[in-house]
Amino acid sequence: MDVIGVVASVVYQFCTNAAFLLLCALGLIIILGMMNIINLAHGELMMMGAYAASASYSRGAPFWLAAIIAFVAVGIFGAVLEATIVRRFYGRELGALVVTWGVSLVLSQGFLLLFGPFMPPIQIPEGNIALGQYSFSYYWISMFLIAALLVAALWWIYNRTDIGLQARATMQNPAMARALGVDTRRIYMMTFTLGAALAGLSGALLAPTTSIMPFMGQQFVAPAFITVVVGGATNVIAGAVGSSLLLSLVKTPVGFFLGAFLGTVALLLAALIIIRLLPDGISAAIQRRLDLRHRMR
Amino acid sequence: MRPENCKDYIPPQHAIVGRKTRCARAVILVKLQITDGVYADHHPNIPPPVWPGASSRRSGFATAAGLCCASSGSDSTGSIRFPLAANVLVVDAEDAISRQITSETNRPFEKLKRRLSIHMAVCLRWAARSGACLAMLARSCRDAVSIARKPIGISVKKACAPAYLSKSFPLASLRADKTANGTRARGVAPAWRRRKGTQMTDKIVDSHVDAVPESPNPIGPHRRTVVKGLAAGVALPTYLRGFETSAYAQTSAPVKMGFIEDESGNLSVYGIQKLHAAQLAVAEINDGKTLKGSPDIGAGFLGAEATAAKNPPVISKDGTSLAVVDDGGAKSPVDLAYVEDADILVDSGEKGILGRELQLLSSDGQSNNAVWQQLARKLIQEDKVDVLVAGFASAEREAIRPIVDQFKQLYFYTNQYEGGVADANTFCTGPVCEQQVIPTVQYMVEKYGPKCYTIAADYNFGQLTAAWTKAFIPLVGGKVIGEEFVPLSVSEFSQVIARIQGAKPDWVMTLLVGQNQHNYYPQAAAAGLKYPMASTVNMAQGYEHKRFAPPSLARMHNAIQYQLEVPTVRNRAFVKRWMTMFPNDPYIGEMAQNTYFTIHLYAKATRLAHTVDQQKVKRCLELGWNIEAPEGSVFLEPGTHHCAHPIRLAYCDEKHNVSFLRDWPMIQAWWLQRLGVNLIRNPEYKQYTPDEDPYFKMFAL
Repeated sequence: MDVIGVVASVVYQFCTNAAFLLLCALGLIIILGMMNIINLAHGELMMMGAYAASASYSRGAPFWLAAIIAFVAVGIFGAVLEATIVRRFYGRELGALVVTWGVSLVLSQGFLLLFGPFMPPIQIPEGNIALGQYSFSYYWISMFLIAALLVAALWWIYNRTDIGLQARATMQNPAMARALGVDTRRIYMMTFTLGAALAGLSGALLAPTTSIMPFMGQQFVAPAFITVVVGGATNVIAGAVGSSLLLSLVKTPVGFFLGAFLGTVALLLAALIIIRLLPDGISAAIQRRLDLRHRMR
Repeated sequence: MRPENCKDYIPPQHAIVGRKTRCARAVILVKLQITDGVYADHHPNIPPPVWPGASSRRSGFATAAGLCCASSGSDSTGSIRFPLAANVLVVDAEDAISRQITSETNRPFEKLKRRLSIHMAVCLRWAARSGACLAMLARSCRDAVSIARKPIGISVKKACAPAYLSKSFPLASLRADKTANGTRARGVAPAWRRRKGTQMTDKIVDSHVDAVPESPNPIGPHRRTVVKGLAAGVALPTYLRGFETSAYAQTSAPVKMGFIEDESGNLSVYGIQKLHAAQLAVAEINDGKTLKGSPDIGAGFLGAEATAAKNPPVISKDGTSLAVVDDGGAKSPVDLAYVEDADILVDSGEKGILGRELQLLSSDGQSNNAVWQQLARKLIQEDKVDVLVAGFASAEREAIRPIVDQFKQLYFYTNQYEGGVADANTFCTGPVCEQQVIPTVQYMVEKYGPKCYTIAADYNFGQLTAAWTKAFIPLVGGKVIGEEFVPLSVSEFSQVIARIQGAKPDWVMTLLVGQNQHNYYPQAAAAGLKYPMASTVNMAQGYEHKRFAPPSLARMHNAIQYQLEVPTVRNRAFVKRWMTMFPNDPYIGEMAQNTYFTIHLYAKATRLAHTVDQQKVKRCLELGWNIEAPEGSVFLEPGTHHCAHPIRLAYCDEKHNVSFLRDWPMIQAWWLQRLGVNLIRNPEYKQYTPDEDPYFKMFAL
């Protein structure tokens, strides 16, 4: 048994799974986590990002440029969506749920009508490192690094910039923030746009691994919601990171020894148990622990 | 009883045919000694006559040559249907056939423990005398007398050109022995073959159809309609009842073909090809074209042969022009059956079916089983379609099959699948596991080694095909070292790839379905997985070798009956016709080709049945049909409603060019036969799974 190879393979799979969960959840972290809008159109936003990337890639743009184009395009669409529809449903969660579901139907069938059943695929970037009988593709390693980078950037924006401060204030207490001169309408618009743009970027980044079809968003919606809900709203970014690491920690060994299907089953069971024990998500539990310790000092 | 005593042997009782004939007031004049027995093998000690044809072909030839005005015959694999197929005469004789005769004829076959459909028929020289002759087969003596007197309505119509009379019948591919004795065929005793005097050549014979009157009116015994030289066959298989005797259906309403495929969603890459195939077939039918083919003998005698090509030609992956990248160099004397006739599309003699336009009512199932059920109900109940052609995934087929059975809808399932559907309303024209899994597995174990790792889509097709692989691989000395079932929605495979790398197989069996799962190939290639792969679905259906960049599909093998790159003349003509109608299509997959010939087959069967009534067309399909498809000769087996196909092993190299390494001219779908399925005698409405076959239980599946 090639021990180093097995260990490396397990670590690699762990990183891959965590990266996948994090990338799926990226856009939703902002929208659900911070604005508390249950965005059922999240999958379709990712699909739009993949479409934008595929369209530019097939016209000759390099992959990184295609991803940036997707980011910008879906961000613009997100701004439009927010201004026209989502704005009317702040505070009305169930209304937001239904209306975003309607938007997702319109988007998926609309893209089917406009662009046909599938788009030209984006080739997965070549190259892999071999270690004994196992090999690790550069693509997934870079996905993990990019996901980590994006999360770090997000954290930095929200915790170290003025805009971030205003955003956090708005989320915490909109009336008070407004009273203190924060333009909450603008903050909401920016947040939603950023969330949509990130969803588009994730869609573009994950596009090489999947077929680009109008209904491709469905496969990302469930992992995204599970990750964000298990993470909890108390500290959205830390929560999402924590939950993706935790769920991946459950999925990887089960998947490695018993098969990918059972790995997914284990992930869902873990999510079920965590939600049952910690209804507010793991970030709430961690925050309570930290507060307790803070008060004890 | 010794052979030399046969001449003087007087049997203790009359054959039932003889008894009935006497009831009909016939006078027995003479008893002849025949020289051949079961399966037309000649008796070694009795010199055979200088006369073509064995078994009931004798009856047909004798009547045609004017030696008699009528003769009776029976067959199990076409002896009487062969001559009768040359001319078609349809008579309504409800319940006239005696069951006693069929069981008597069937007795020698019971020993063989096989179920055969026995056909009884009467060849007539003149249509006018049919009554008396039918009496030979009547149910009782009383019936015999009454039928002899009763006028019977007959409608006569033009025949279709039977394939077996043409020069290039598939027999030619069986290494025809062109010696002085003519073509060597099975069943002729070697002693006879060597005799100088017996010449059997396959001369082309013109069908004596020209003098056939087109009048649909019943012909009574008073009007003597003499059709000179016409051996009018009254084909009355025992299960065949009630063909139309009255005039043509005088309606001009279109014949409605219901069609459901996935034009969008995960499975749309297959559905669109099938839709185009249907559109092409319907356009050709409405234009007055049909594929060659006719009710024919069974394909059993062709058996399963395999020859390895010395150097098969390699077809380029670019475009659809079937450019040959490497023509293989010197040909081996044991050649593969690549040379076939070019023209399989012939005139049908009418535009549409029975003078009515064929209308395709197609709908999009959206790769969603609930939508499929709604659409099936709509087409069957609301639109009242005359035939339903639908289904890609086995889950979709099983979702609508209960609806089909509820309304007894004639239904064609034109996809390759895991096998086992025994449903009296369903005809499955795609290949099944025994035709694909076993040849593939045999080749892979021979070439690459015994250890196989299976990854399959996690639904009924994937599970059952994986069970077949596991059950049959030990026979060729292999072993499945790991199995993984992946849900249809999964498109991320890094864990699966890691597990395969951990297991270290010799080759991988990939049974992946749907666009999500196809992403395994580029991901595996990016991860550096270099194992040879085998499949029964990939490459030939979803054209992964064109959609993904090389070397994603490198070293992929698939034993299929058809994919675009088949290098035969008839296929090139077919591809050219397709690309003329659909210039932007990227590929023609195996299930698209199946859909194409199936629709042509339906048109032919409907023409023969002379009605679109679904039960009657089903009976007509159950005659057993040989149809010349772009893949080769396909035979629709009557009892199992499945097709025997020619099978080829396709191979995709590092540059994604395709070549064919081995072929089997015809492999039957034998599993259902082995299970004893005979949908004509015992209609069933289920799908058999390997669980119900004791053989599979030996492998604890």
